[in-house]
Amino acid sequence: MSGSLHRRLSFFLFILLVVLFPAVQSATAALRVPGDYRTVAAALDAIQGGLISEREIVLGRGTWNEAITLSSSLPPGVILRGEETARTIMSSSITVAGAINERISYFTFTSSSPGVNIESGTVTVANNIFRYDTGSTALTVVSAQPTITNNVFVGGTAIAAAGNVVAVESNAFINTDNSVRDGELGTSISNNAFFGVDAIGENRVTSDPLFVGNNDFHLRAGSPLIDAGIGTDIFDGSTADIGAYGGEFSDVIPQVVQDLSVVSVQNDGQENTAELRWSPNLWYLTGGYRLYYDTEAGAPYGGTGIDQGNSPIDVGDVSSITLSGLRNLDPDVAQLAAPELVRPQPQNTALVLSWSAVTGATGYAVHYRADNDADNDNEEHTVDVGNVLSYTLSGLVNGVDYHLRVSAYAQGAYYFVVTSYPQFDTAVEGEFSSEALAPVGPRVEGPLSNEVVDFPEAIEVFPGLPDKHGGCFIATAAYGFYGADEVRLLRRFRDHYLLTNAPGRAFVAWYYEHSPHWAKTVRDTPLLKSLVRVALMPAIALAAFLFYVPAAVQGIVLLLALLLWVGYVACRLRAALASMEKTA
Amino acid sequence: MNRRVLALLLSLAACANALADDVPRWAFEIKGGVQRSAMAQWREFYDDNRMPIYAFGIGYKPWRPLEIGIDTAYLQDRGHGFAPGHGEAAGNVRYRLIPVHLSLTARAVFDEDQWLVPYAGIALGRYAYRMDISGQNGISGATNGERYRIGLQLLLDHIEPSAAEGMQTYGIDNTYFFLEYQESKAKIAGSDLGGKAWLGGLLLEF
Repeated sequence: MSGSLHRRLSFFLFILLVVLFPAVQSATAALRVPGDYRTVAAALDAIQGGLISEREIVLGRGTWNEAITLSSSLPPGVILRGEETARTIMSSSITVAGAINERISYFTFTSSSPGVNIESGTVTVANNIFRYDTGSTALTVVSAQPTITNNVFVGGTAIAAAGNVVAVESNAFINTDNSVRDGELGTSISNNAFFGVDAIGENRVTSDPLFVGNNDFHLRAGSPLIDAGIGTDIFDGSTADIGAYGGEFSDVIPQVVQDLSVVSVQNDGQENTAELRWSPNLWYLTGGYRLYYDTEAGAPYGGTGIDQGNSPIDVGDVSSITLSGLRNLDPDVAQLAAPELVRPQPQNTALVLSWSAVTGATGYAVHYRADNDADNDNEEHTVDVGNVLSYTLSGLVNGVDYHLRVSAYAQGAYYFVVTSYPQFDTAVEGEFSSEALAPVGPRVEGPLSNEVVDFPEAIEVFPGLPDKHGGCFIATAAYGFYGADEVRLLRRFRDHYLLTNAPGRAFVAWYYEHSPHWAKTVRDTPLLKSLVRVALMPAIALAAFLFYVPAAVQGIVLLLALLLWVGYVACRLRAALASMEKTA
Repeated sequence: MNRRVLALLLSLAACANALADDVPRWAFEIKGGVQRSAMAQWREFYDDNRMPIYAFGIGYKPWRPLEIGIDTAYLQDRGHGFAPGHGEAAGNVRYRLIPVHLSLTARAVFDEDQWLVPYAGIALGRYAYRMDISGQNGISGATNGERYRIGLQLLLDHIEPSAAEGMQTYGIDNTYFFLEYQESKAKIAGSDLGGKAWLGGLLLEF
């Protein structure tokens, strides 16, 4: 009996442990917003009400517009932090009103001035980035004892303190209006970096901080901010670095890898080789890169079977890799529909095309043929434009009609993303890079779209003003301004009938070389202006005839002119013959 | 000859110094507003007839009511062009105009504590323009023009005396807020780059 009771008690305790362990564990975890709560205010209410024991609220990546107040009714020790410093953007203010031992970390503050307003209480503002314009204020201290450590302040007034004791340590002030304005600075202003602003305090660093980029405040190798702060770095136990990525609370997540691209894909029969490249992460603590792949787009990238191993592949500290053993893949669809090509937008020597999306397509090709291009080459050209729905077809000849079509295609592909990890912990990983793909295997071509015929042309602007670098041509001079109807007609004639053939282009080049000088003479001589207008009348009449008279009427007029000419010649011949007979 | 020129310059300097004891000699103004184009067709290509105008200038007062100055402005508008062969709007166009004027302005100041000061002025200028067109070469050039303006300035020193005293420590004698109406003409190739503008701004006299 007692044995049975003992067994029952043991079982009951086991069940209790199984049930309670996750609850105990969750009590030490952070509250996620959104996730556990929709808003920060709701999470703070839950903490304030004493319903939960968590003290840390993590705001997800993205832009936050919620105004947040940390009031005195909160229990001590609340931590409010972003998920990732560079990618948790706070565009509203956080106000501290009496709360005790709080910490605000891992945010990039923009827009709202001030980003953090400390009215009262004790708070640590650590490992944030404040980006502001001149005239704005990043952080104000009204009546409190904050510790401001390991932040980066860019632009604006960094800290406006009014009669309080402030500890300012291990921060970087970059091109700010000033670093600390006003206030009784009784405690430490020490081990800060100043670039583009007057330096203050002890142990200051004033040389180029060597950040990774304009928007990436990780430190490069050789930065004077490395090991120049106060305290220790959480990641390696060394003296703290200055800036947002140093000190005991530092965000250790590496930045997203940029510029991943597939440089080439080689087909070797049944298999393929692809070369990938990306921009190296210049953070001095970058340890290496991890390559993920799959034969379908999007996470989770659980690809298998290539020579280098299954996804993910730890490729080490390199910025390119050649992958082999990528097998040919069949496209997901067996048949594609035709896209619908809409009427292009004309531009100077270009046409802007756009078309409807086709389900299952992995790319599109533009097919075009000139009616009569510069080299009398009427061949159809095809351009693979990738997976886009708009394309500017450039390098065309103004005034020439182009026959345009679009087709969709589908092809199997390997999809790749890359992450980086730091030297001190390979388990910590940045977010996925943007995706790159390597097409492999046979391609399914869809049918051609509807055909659209259109021509590029030079765009006229209003007002039609003369250009000091060109346009000083005779017609412009004679008619007074560039936008005159006659001048526009002659330009259109040039584009349509002269620039489309070699002799015409040679004439235009010769004319452009010599006409500015003649145009000046014409412009300055009223009599010459009138004479030139009369001389240009036949050319303008011809241009108007070619552009505005319907083709059928043009044909009739030309036929009549031919008949008149033949009649005239016949009359002259008959008169000549009659004269010869008379003489004989 | 050189002695005469030197004597003339010294006389002018002495005159200017004498003026400096009593009245402000220099004026700086900064203003902004809206200009309505003189061309009715403008709205067909730039959505409406208005474009923002920002300007500043500096003037010298050889005589208290009279001011000789130089000023410049910046105007910009964005719109579209025209494809003549298609008979439709096409392309993106950015228009910018920077006039520089030499001006003569008369201000009806009878007392240094006068609240309201009406003024009027004329100016001759050079108008530099530039038009950027998507996908093709831009157009730039310049032409001459003229401008007339009238306005009313309000002395702010009475509204905020402590601030006025603070400004005087920096050598600024009077601060005015003003509203101004301008008309300008700058004709070139059948077009008029001028228009009617309404502006507001601050005038500092020192």
